[in-house]
Amino acid sequence: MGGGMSSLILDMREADPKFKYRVKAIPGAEKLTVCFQCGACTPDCPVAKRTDIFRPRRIVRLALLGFKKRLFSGNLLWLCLGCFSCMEMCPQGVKPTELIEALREIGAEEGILPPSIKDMMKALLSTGRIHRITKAREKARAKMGLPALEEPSMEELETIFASSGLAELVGGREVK
Amino acid sequence: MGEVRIGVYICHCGTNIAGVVDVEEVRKYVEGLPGVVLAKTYPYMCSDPGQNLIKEDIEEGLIDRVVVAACSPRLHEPTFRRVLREAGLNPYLLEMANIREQCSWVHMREPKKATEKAKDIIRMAVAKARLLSPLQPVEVPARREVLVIGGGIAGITAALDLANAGFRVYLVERAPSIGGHMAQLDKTFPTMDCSQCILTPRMVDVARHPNVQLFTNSEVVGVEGFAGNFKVKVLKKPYYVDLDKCTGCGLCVDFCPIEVPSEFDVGLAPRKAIYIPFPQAIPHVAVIDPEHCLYFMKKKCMVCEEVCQELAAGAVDFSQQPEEVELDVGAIIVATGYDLYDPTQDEEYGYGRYEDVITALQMERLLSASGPTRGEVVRPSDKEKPKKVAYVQCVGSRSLRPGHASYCSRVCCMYAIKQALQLKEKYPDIDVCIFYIDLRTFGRGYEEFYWRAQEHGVRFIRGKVAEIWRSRNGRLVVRAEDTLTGRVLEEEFDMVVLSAGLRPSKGTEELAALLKIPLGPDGFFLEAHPKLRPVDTVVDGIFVCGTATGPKDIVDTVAQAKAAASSAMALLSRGKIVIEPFVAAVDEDRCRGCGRCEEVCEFGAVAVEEKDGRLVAHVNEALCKGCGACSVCCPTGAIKVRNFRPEQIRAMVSSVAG
Repeated sequence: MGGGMSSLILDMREADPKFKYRVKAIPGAEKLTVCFQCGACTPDCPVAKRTDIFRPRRIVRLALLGFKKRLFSGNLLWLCLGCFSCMEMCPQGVKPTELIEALREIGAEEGILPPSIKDMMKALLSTGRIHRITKAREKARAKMGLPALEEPSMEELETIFASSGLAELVGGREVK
Repeated sequence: MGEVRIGVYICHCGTNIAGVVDVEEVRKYVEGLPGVVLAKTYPYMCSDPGQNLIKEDIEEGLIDRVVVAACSPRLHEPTFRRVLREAGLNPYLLEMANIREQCSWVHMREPKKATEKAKDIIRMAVAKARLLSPLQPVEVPARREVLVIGGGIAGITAALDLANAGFRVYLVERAPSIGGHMAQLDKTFPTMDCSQCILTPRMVDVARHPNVQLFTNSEVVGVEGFAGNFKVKVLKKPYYVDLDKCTGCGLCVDFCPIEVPSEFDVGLAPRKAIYIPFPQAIPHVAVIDPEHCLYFMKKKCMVCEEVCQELAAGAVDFSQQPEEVELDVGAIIVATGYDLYDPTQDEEYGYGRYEDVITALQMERLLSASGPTRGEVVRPSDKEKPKKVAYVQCVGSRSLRPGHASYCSRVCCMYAIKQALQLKEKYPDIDVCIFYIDLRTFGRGYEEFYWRAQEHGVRFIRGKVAEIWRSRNGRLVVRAEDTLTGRVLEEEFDMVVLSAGLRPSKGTEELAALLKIPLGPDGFFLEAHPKLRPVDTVVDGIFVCGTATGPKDIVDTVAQAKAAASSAMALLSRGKIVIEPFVAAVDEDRCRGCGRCEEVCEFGAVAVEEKDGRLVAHVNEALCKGCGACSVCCPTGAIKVRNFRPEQIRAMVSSVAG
């Protein structure tokens, strides 16, 4: 009972009506309360076209009703590409893109990050890159006449991660 | 004049005042003020027993000046003036002290300070009351003519009511024919009455009425004066056709070589440079459009004149000139209607790029039997009958995006459902789908009308359309989210109708400036009070009705038009207008005719004139607004506003400033 995007019945005990005020306090997300669910944001969303669960309109609705569990389930909030198509269409000025960023921030405050994002961040923290550069790739670069890749500046990255709280969130730095 | 005897009445206003201000403490304090012979408090001074308190004290001779400390005078000053009048005291010997809006309501968390402030406010009122003089209201003669600006259903309705009541009406319409937008409609919701059939009898009535003088192809270009006595300048633009000779036979139209898009058919069909606006036009005469006529542009071609001369009435007359007339009227009714929003700027809908995306007004012309396709609804691109039609609601309305209006245009849900029903009745196999955010079917019979549409199989999808484009097979694709199932859909249609919203009619800003009446933030004319005075403006004698104040259906338009006519009648029926006496008055002995008051008056209410061999200022009491600017700059103190004299104001200030 409850939880999971596929359940069609919403148990309102799971809803936190005060959640929206916390969201509203974050700059960019202030207008979520004027959304009248017209759905203009969704048809042009490139992710909505390709998934069943991601709809900008639905994210706003869930945030308004305060269904935190559903909002932060899986990597739903991280599917947004940040293309701003939704924001162009909205007649009420709701700014769904910025709302999603605000929600990600709230998730981060509570230590909620999807595993895939966490892994990407961990890789960044330990190697300075989010992808692993294979020897084959290095060879291919040299063949094409491209300069060799520089070692990323770990000092700068570590400062950013430490002062922003990301290091704690991600679970510390793994030694190479 | 002996000592005045002031009675002060302090209202509790339930808990509105007494909940914050200690009214008993204030009463005790006020009792001791010089000139005050009694001070009383009461829960609701405006009630009958409250009013009687004052009445009895006056009738028993205890007091001859009244101060009521209560709510804003805007609410009950007339009430208490009436009490004084009924008790036999001049009604202008009343002074109100606002200890609610200006005290208890704004200092709700500081009762002690509010109580002190209430004492100050009443002390000021008592200081003024000591110096009040009895006054008489001013009467100004009023004319019985009324100007109605706008010849659509609102203007026509108002004109007819006034004319039938015996008032003379000047109906000014800037288009060559009266009728307005209602003449363009095919059917009206929810009754499915034929629009022309219910409109044209009224058009004929108003044109033939002995009390109505019609000025078509004319515009108001100047307004001066005041309620009861406006002077209006009307510019009559030339038809270049003699209205007495033209029979409306249309021969000139057949021969004219110039074609331009027809305004009446919203660009779906052409009209000639000389044209008759529509078959039921009134006046039913040809008119030449000088901006497209070859004769006016290049001095070539007089075909229409030649043909009319040879074969018809000889009515074409290129020598006609615009004519300005001056009308004297007692009241003005603004009924200038609306314009439809032009969705060209909304690129996502493709209006202007795809021929088969049209506005609802254009669809109305297609549906109309007197329209460009004789009532056959066909795609503008290939003249084929559409099998599937989509309606997009809220186009240009309910949106904060640039160029859009934030308000709801009120009639689009109903007109879309109406047109959908008409399409179903004409073509039973047609598929009509309305894409909406909400369905606003608020009026009498409206929800039932929606139900009827659903019964007939009109589809409704809740989702604002995001995009429309043309697919390779030439059909239009509509993309929207069906928010009720959460699925994004893309569907092909043969035609798309945009339910465009209503905008203030072109020229609204200019007319507002001429009449000196304000517009609301939405650009429509502003009513004096949104709830209680929907057809008044802030200027006495100028009324407004219909879609000129905002989107509304024909029902509400007609009701407002009748209300405006009725208000004008109430104003003018006694042949005179009574205005409050708080206007400037000149002490002629002190006036030396320097003219500073005349220079400073914004309303043109003071003029220096010759009287008995000397120059003296004279006030037009109907124009004077009592602002007091003249009084401020008068070097001798000759001109003062009645019961707002400098010595009264000084007394009020000294009483609190020491």
